[in-house]
Amino acid sequence: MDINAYIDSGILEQYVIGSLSSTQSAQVEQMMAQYPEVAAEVKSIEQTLQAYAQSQGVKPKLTEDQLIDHLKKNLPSVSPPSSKFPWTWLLSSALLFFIAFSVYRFSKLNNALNQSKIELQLQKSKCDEIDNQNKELQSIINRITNPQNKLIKLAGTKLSPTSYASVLIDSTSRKLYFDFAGLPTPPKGKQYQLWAIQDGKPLDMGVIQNNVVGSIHQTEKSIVDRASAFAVTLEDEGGKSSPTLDQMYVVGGL
Amino acid sequence: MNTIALDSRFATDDIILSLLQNGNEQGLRLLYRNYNDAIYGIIMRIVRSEETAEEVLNDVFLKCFHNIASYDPTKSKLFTWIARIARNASIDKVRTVSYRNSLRTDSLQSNESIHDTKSENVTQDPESIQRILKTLDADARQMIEMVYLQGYTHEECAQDLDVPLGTVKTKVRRGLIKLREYLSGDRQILAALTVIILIYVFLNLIM
Repeated sequence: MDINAYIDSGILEQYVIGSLSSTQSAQVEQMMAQYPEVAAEVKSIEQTLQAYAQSQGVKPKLTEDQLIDHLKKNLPSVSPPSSKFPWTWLLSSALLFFIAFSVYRFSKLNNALNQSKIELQLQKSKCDEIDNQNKELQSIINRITNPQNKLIKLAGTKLSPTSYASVLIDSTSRKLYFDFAGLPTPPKGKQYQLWAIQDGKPLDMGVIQNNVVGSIHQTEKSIVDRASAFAVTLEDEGGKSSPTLDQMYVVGGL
Repeated sequence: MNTIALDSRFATDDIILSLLQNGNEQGLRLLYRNYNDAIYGIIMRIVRSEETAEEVLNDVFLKCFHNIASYDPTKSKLFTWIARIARNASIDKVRTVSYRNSLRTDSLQSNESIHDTKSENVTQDPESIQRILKTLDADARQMIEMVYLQGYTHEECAQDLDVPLGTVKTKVRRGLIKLREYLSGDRQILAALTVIILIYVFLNLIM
């Protein structure tokens, strides 16, 4: 490369005054690093142009003190905070208050949300319960309306004329369903016992566990086919092998 | 902030630079003291409005103070760096719409008026530089001023004066070489004086 021609091209002057693009400047810097005479020329141009600019200088009105004054006004650390309205403080405080308020609101809303979640869970379980009851009732209705099944109504005896009960025989599954809703609450230590009358003899169908209404008992096929009547007696807890006839509350035949 | 009073005559670029790097306002004072008129001369020739030029001058020096970290002393002299900032800031200012509008209503601010201001206010007046410049023809003087002070590129200068680009390059380059010859002669005298002083001090010490 002809270095003299490169120097004479005027590119170095343009580099010094800063009118080259960044790519062109980088190329000049590369040439400076590679050729000491280019670097020396650049230095010389800088000195010449500085002297030229100084010879063509114009005295500005702006004084050194005014410049320093402007410097101080522009520097946040130097400017006196009392001279200006404390916008920064005001904004910071407002922001802080806003954040604190938001946190407070958030925690309140979060608590409310948790409360609602618990409530929802409760309502859901209630719904499930009702749903189950509905299903149970539906199955009871189905059993009652099923023409294959037999419904026997038991009427109150002289001992308790207002009492009533019913027995449903599911002939397919051979299950007996008892509804004791019409019987008085048994005294302590006593339980109701269900009897099936077959061929004139009472057969033990079991006691009502925990006196819960709607007890279900599995039974023999013969009972389904041959039972002629059902009766309920009040017995000592656990039941007896033969019924106490004077304690018969309800009775009904097929 | 440290406000040690330093005489700008003894403040070399190195001292100014280290003060600026420490964020010392004294660095800015010295920088301004040394270069305000040269930099203002550059700005004035580009923006052509005293009020705007003062504003740009203020911004340029504050920018130098704040951005001193971006100055690389291995790449250029401190003055070259500031002059580039000043030139770019002035050109940017001239390009703004509000500035153009203000110029349109202020027809008094002509190129000639700047020259008048300049001749009245030149502070550093190395008459010999002026003399050297006068030895150049008027075209060359104008080209040098356009390229080195008014922020024109060689191409813009050629276009503006309606002369070939090669002519601009040659004339500008020749002018620069003439100036340099004058300056190097000046520096040789300075170097000779320094050697004499050093010999004098050395002789005093050993005798």
